[in-house]
Amino acid sequence: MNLETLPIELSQTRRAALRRYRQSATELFVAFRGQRSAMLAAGILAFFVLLGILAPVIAPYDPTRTFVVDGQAQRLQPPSMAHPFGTTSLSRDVFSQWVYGSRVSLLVGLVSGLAVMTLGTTVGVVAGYYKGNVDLALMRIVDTLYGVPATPFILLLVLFFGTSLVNIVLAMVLILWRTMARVIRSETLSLAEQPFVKAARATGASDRRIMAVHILPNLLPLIMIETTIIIAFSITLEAGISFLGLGATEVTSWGTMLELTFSSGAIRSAWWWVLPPGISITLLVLSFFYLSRIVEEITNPETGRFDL
Amino acid sequence: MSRQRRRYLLKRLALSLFSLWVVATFLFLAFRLLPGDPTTAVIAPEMSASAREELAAQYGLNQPLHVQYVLFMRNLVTGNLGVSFQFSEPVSDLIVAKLVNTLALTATSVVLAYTIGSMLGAFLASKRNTSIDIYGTGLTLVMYAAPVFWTGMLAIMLFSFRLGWVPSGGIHSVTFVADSFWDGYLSVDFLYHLVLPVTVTTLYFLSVPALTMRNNMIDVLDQDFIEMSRAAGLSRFSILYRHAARNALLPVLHYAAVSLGFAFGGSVVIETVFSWPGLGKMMFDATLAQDFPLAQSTFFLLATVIIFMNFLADALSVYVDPRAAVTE
Repeated sequence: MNLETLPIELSQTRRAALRRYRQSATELFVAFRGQRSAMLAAGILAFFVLLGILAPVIAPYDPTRTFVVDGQAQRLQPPSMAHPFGTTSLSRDVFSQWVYGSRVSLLVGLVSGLAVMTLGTTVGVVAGYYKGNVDLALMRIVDTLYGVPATPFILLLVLFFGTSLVNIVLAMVLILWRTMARVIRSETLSLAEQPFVKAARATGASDRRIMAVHILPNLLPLIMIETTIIIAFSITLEAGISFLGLGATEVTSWGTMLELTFSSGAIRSAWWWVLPPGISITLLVLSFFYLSRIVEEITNPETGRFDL
Repeated sequence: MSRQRRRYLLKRLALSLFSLWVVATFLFLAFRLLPGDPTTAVIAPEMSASAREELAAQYGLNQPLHVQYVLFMRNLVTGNLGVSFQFSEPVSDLIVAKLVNTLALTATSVVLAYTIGSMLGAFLASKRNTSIDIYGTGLTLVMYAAPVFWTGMLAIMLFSFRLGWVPSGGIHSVTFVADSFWDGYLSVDFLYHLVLPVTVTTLYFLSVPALTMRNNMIDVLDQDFIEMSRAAGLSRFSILYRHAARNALLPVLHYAAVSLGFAFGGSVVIETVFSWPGLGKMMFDATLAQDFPLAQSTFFLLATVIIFMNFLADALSVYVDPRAAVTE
């Protein structure tokens, strides 16, 4: 795709910014293909994404269907041909629930990750670029949020406004953007002192242009690292909220599956019901951790760190 | 130097108090914006009309909102947290016992996690890029990625139900009678109940210090003084654990305080899995039971602990590295 021949008329500014973004993205992609653990993480992620998209095709039954054979409810059946992951204490198919559960985790992770990314980056760049009173005010909000316990905060909001997926994600975004804002701000602070930013200002570039064309593209790796970690964190957090019995009521998630195994006392025997959701959450979260590490390794090859 | 440090600490303290005030205000508003009767925030619904009015007057609930706000703040500062609906006991009495329980679990596992974790991190750094490092780091990450309530469930499944080694939850056996306050925490019975939750949470908290320590060690090992020590003929062990580890450990200390605060926030989930009668579980149960005085106070206490720990982390870092006070 050639930007100069795009049918849409782009201003000089936009074209310059787009070119910078595309350059960073291409570099990243090329380096990405050379890493084995990166490919593995991407493979795991792709598997769950496909599972979520194709859920109605893959799942043999409706996740809420109750199985009764010869008047006998199929409660807590171990894995068999008909039920590859066995059945729950409510005689439902674990495999179908597990397949549909991937949708919730991926959706929650993605939506809250993108929302936190937008909010956190905006606040961080604005605070770090303008400094002064704007910075002071915004950072006080962030400081205060750091004092709020995340899980209890989400619990309170969800209890007040109702247990739905939308409310859980909203509550999560409200608390999680603090890390993003702090990290982006401190990087913006040092970027704003760089000669190229001063040069841009000297040539008469507007604040908005400096932020979008000169600062933001340099933040891209950091934004990607933070976003993948936020996604991973959101997935665990949603599972925890669901485990406490305050998960979305409209769908079955991996967290709600685990809640029922625990509260029904099925963990005494039904390993086939406890293992799939937990292993899947772990794998999904792990693949996001590895993706973030790959971005870090590519952009900062010296260290090979694992930051959490 | 020390004046700068004092100024920095005072500023941090002021900011912490500001955060506490904002959290308190949030709680005040949240519990009064509830749908329905605002008096439900402090008064049990099944009380008689006259008792309700008396209590409403005592809490100033018949007053305009700004007067109520002043009253709320005054009660909070003086520790008058109201009476729990469920237990009909003063909230402050209920909370103190739970705070000790939560502290016994989280402080133990955070201390263990930071001790073991930093040693593990130093070890992994010394084996940098070997397969021990790659699999060790991977395993550490798996423990961090796995939801702690799930690993807790697995541990209960295996060690309590299958093998029968440890109890599946609670803090004491049913038959246990404590002769004194300390007896409750220094008894074999308590330790017996503590083993499983502490092991699971320690493994979970371990990842942050281990990975931070590994990163710091890798940075430190690249510095000139390490090269010098090597040239001076010091042994590998001495270079790693006497010279490099000391320098790498300092930033890890900062995270220890933050982690303890974080552990308090996560206590809701952890204490639910292990039926541990602590603050988090109490906050959750109180919120579900609509016991608002109790829910409000436990939430505030959790926030206070976190804010205090964050302050402590800042204070620790200026003592450990005085440059922090100047750059702020």
